[in-house]
Formats: sequence, C-alpha cells, structure tokens
Amino acid sequence: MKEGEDLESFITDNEVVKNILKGLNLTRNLYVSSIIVGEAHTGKRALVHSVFPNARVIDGALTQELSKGMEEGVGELVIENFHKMGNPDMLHFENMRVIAIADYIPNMRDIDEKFAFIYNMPPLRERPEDVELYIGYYMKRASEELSLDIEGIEIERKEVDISRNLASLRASVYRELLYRKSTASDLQNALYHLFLRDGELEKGYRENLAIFEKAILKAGLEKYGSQLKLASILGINRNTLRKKINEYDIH
Amino acid sequence: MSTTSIDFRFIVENDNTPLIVFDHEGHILYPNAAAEIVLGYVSPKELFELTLLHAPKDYGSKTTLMDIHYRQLFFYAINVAYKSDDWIALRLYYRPRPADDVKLDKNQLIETNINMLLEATLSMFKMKYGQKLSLIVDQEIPEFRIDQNGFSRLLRKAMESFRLSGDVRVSLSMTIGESIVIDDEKYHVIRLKISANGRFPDEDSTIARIAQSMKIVAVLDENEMQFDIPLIS
Repeated sequence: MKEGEDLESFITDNEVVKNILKGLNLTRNLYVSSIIVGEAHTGKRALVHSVFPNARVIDGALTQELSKGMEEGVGELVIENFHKMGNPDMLHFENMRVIAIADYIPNMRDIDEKFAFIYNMPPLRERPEDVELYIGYYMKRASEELSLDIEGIEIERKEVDISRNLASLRASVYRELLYRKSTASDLQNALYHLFLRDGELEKGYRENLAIFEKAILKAGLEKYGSQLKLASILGINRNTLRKKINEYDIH
Repeated sequence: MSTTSIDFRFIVENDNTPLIVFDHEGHILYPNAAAEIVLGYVSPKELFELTLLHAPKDYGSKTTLMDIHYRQLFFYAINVAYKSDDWIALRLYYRPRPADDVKLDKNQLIETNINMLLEATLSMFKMKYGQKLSLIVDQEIPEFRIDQNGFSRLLRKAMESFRLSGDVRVSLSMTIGESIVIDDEKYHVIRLKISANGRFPDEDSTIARIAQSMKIVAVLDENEMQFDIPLIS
C-alpha cells in the first residue's frame, strides 16, 4: 500500500499534528518550501493533500520527471518520497511553493539548505488520541465497504497493531471486525479453505481439532471464569477440561 | 591662497567620520552629521567614558586601534584630541567594508506581507521548542518585495539560535531616516529584532551569509539579533 492510501481524508486529535496543519495553512499562499519528515504511513501525504489539494504531485525517485516539472516552473509542487531523491542539489525553489514528504532525512545539510519550514510528523505510538480516532475512522469505513453492521462493537487501543502506523492499524481493525462478525458458517467456510491448503489436513485429525478446542476453551474461560462452571456449561468432565487446558497451555 | 577663507566647520560637518566634541563634564558641545547617526545607537555617556579612557596624557591627540561596534556601525580605530581643559574631541573611524558583489534580482522578489512570514516561523518555533515568545509588530508596515523562501530560512535559523533561551522578544518596525543602498538606489529600512537572555551563535556565519545574499544588514550580538531589511516596493 502506498503512503496516504490508508486515508481518504485527513483527521487528527493530536496537538503536534494540528500545529503542522496550522503551519502549512499559514504558508499555503506563500512561495516557500516546506518538508514533512516522519515514519511511513503516519498520514503525511493525506495531511499535505488536505492543505494543497490542487498541487502537482511528483515522486522524488523520478528524477527526470522532477527536473522537467521544475523547468516548467510549476507554481505549487508536492514532492513525495523526497528521501529517495538522488540529487537534491538540482532543486531550486525560488518563487515556487514546494512541499516535500520524506520518511527520513538522508542528509540534514541538504534539507537545511533548501527548506524554510521543517516539520516532524510523530508516529502513531506518540499519538494515542489519534489511534482512538483512527480505530473509529476505519471501523466506519469497513462497515461501508464490507456492508458490516458495527453497532455495539468496540475495538480497544491494545487490540490494534500500530507497528507500521496507519497501514497496520487499518489492517488490524478490518481483521478484528471480520473476526467479530463471523458466523459459524463463515468459520466453517474459512476452515474448509484452510484444510484445502497443502499440509494442513495432513497434520492429522486430533491436531486439527485443536483449532476448535483451543478457541472454545479460551473464550469459555474468559466468559465464565471458573473451570467448574465451564465444565458444567460445556457438559464435559472437570478432569477432562483441566487436562485440555494444560495441554493447550491456556491461562 | 590663504587658508583663512576655508570653511573648516563645513568640511567637518560633512565628513563621513563621526566627530563629537564634549565639555569637561561630558556634555556634547558639537556633533557632526555622521556623529548624530552614531548617537542614535549609543549614549553620549558611553562615548564620553570611551573618550576619557583613551585620551592622551597631555594636550594633544592619540589614535587607538580597536574593534568596536554599535549595532551595525563597525569601527576599527578612534582618535581623542584636546588642547584645552574645556573641550575634548572624539573621532570614530569606520571599518572599510569588503566589496559587495552579491547581485539581487529585484524582479524575482515577491510582494509579501511580512507579518505572515513572521507568524508562520514563530508558530513553528513555538511548536518545536515551546519557548515563550513576545511579538511587537508595527501594523503600518506596507507589503514589500522579498525572497519569501530565503527570508523564511533566515528567520528559522535566527530563531533556532534562541532555542534554549528564556523569554524571546521579537519586534518588527519601520525605521526613520535610515536607508539601505542597493545598486545606487536608496530603500527604507524595516528592522527586525530578536532578543533574549543569551543565544547559540553556532549558525551565525550561515545566518550572515543568507542575510547578505538578500541585502539584509545583520548585526548578531550575544543576546540580540538585528536585521535591517530593505523595503523594496
């Protein structure tokens, strides 16, 4: 997924990011150069697009296209993947409005020499309020795209993966929603496709039964707390239940 | 021809070298026109103390080589002379400036509301360093032509030299009676001052270079930076 495809529009509740937005808005009519540096998938591209929706966008890795764009004297230019640019010295920003986006700074001297405004986009792990915001955002998008009824479903911050910022957060929200909305028939269908894969069925009957048993014991213990109660609910012997809990190492 | 008909006072009055004559208590008896500019930057008291410190032991004249500056006025020597107990004269010798071969293409400059550039830079500075800032701006400053990107870079670097200072004070005003000459044309001066209780001078040479490329006169002191910007309309 390309940076920025995680988002259709830019939203934030984080003060640092709000200040970056404020800075870009203050300079949106000035002929100055700005750069936003931050990890991949932190929303940099969507943020820039929200302030400069009509700017010409050129990938910094495409040197020829970029130098052509500069020669043509484009008034407002967004340079994506600035960190992939081979030769930043070729850039001349006189009387241009340039907004560059970079995942990291390859050479601070080049950045310092070229850009008037340098912004650092914080990663999601430093923006807990945005994690909450984007869980809600992606839940709504998933419900629209996948026609899912998400009423009553809550996904907590600890349940999502933000190791790759919005890219992994989005994937984990969609996955969580699918888990929670799956019916027995969906799961049977999923298992059917699992067992068709090479090597899965061949693990043996007991091993494959563990897929079902582990899930039912884990959920049962979380829901009913005591083994005594769970044994009674499931209608199995207490000793059998204890044996299986130990076998699957469930706590 | 006798020299009695020569109007020496007229010559001194129009000399570019500042000359101030004090009485024995430090009151100014006479400043020439060049000295009046210097007196806009330094008190008569400070100049009188300098005069006494470097006066010859007896009646006569003494020149002392010394680097001294009052804001953007740089001197390389002073001369103190007296021939009576009633008056003492101080002359200040300007340091020669290297030839300025930087060309400014005025057609490339863009009509700018300087307050907007200032606001954007200060907003970024506050965001990055969380410093307390006070800003005094003369709202009467008209829009003028400037290299917006270059000036924003200059401002950023100037502000960053105050990154760990306490309260940072920024003021922007029009000066009266001062001008910057570019290609034989005189321009009014907009003065930007940034001050605090100390700053980092590590980027001063870069700041001076950027300022010079834009014909901005930069005076970089221990606690203060002053930028005289030509008002090109």
